[in-house]
Amino acid sequence: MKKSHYWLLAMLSVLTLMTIATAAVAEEKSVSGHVEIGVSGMDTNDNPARVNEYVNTRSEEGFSFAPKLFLESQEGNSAFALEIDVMGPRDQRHSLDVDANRIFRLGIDYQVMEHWKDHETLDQMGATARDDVGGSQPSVTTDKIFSDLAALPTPVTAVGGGTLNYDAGEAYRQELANDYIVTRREIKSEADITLPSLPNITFHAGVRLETREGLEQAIGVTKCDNCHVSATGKDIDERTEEIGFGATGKFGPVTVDYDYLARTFSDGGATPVRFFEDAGNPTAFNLLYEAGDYAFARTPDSEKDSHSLKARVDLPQNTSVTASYVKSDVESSKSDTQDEYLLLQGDTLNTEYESFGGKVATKLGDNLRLSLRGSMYEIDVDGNQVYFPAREVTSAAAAWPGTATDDLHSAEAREVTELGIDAVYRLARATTLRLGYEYEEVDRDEEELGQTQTNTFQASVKSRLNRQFSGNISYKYQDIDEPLAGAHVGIAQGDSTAFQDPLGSGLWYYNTADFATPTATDFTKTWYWTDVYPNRQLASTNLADKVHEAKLSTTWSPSTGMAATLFARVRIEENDDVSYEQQTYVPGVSLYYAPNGKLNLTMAYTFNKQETENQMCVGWYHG
Amino acid sequence: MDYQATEQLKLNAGFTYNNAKDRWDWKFSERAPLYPQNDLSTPLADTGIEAAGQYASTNYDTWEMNNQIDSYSDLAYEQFQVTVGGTYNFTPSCYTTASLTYDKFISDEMYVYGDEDGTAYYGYLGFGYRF
Repeated sequence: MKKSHYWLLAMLSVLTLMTIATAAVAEEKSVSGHVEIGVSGMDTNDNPARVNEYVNTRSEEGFSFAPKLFLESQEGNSAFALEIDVMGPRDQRHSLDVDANRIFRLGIDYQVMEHWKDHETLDQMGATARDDVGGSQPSVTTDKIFSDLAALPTPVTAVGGGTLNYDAGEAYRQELANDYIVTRREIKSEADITLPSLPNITFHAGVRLETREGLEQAIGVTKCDNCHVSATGKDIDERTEEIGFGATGKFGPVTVDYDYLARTFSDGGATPVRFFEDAGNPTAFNLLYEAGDYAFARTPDSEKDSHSLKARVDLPQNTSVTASYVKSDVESSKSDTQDEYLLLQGDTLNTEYESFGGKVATKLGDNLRLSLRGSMYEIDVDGNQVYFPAREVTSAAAAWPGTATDDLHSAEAREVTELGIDAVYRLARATTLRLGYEYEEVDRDEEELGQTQTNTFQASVKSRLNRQFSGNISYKYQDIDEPLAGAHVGIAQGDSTAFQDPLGSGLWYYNTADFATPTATDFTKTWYWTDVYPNRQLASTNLADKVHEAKLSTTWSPSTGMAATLFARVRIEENDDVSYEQQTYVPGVSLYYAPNGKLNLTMAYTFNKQETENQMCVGWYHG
Repeated sequence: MDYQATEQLKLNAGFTYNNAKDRWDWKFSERAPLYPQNDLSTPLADTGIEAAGQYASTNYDTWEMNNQIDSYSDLAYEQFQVTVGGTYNFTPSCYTTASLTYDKFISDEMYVYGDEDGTAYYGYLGFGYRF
């Protein structure tokens, strides 16, 4: 399938070029354009990852051959345009557009680019609370910390009872020397055919192939104690293949459009492996990842099939009715992970998306346009169960008291209903008023995540006051009931075995001396799982429940050679339940000035300020 | 900026400047001592809970330093980019074009990615033919 894409596209391109070229030669030259032979060069000092993040010309210093070609031709009802722009081996853009007598249209695009990815040093991982000396602190370590401890006059090779099975210093130096950079290549092709004998139907087909190759950073952490954080390079060898086809037909007042899309994603890069130490802290009961080398930071393969059907009926009195139906199925493969856990119903997770939508738009009188729309979509996740072999232990004293199998709970499964009404009223010759209201209800299958209802009100005025002034101003207000909640936070609120902060901060504490000494064999004494986590009660969310947003844009254009645009956006959102407030201000101006036919200037300035106030729940325990 | 200097020579130039700052202010009321006998103004060595060896207090942050934790999220950078270029037409069909860009990233406050300072120069020289 992969090779056939290249051959198919190459063959189509060659055939098309030959046809056009032959026609052009036969009917005298009508091809114009330009060709450039060039050289590009790049030199960089210090860190290239930000200054050349989206790589310009090349990622390493040196020179590259940089040819360019632009060809265009038009002959009767046929035309083609070819553009080749190469600035470096991985900074290229190519495009081909062909229109053969308006019967066959073909568009091909090919792009190559490089992107420097983030590279954390992990230097900040050693921070911990000064007073927190209970329980062998400091216990957050990195490869560099282990390497430094081993270099002490009296070498230290274990922290909190945890040791590593590799040379931490060598691993640290090797990881620091990694270049995290990814090359993205994408080729897209779309073709339309409208046969003269069937002029009201257009058939279309498309192919897209995208690859990402390179190295990214993957960071993993071991549970205490110690809590070892380390990074390693992850090979990226991703491939996305898409093929689609469909047809658009116009039958009198009815227009129907059908599209089918099939997409596959695969990652052929090796999954990184890291060493997870034996968790020395007895409260880390019955972990899945400890005392061994385990794969982590996997990217699963997936497939998607999608059908889309849309229909529109144009009725008299400027009225139209549209309807749409979309169904897609996504399958994510977990076959590579069937070691630490097993899916009991097949090794794939399946999601189905189905949506229905409709809209009626009409014009009432000369000045009012009205539209009503509604849609409903459902995301359904196939049930499954997860089995953890590590929970089955032979010793009865160390046996996990619960089952070794958990039901799979999906946070994605939901039903969403949307209803909206929009009205556009012409206040004057070149001035319109737009009013809109939308209601959205999200009903999630997972009860813990609840239901969210959003009411949105919008108003805007757009006007061309005279030849020189035009502008628009808009305002939006949203009222959201129960935005998507995060995990419960806080420690020990309301637990009878806890006590309140005597300094009146509102926080609650456990005194660990009040608990039985944790053991690795008695789950009732692993008080993290039995007391700390279940007693978290404070609501958390990073989403607002009230939003106000205003936008303004105005353009002054006193002549054809001058224009100034002033724009501004202000957004204020809040959620009193979690003491969250955020204000965003983005004013800006852009100018265009061409005093004569020889000189033109463009200038722009944008200022962006955002202030956020919120509460934080910080667990001041062990790093 | 685009400027047709003469009939054969067209020049262009551009300048971009970015200045970004981020600050986090920690509104934190003094936390309660984990051990009732501790007064947080008491040096750890005097509390009776000082440990030895790798767990000695000298190995990690004091509470005054922890109260500066919000400075970790102070971010600041500046970025300059200057481009100059031009196209010279020898004849209506033959031309040469060149451009040079200087790009500088100055990381005024480091974040978790280390020292991100960097400069880059990009150049292009080409000979073209129009038909």
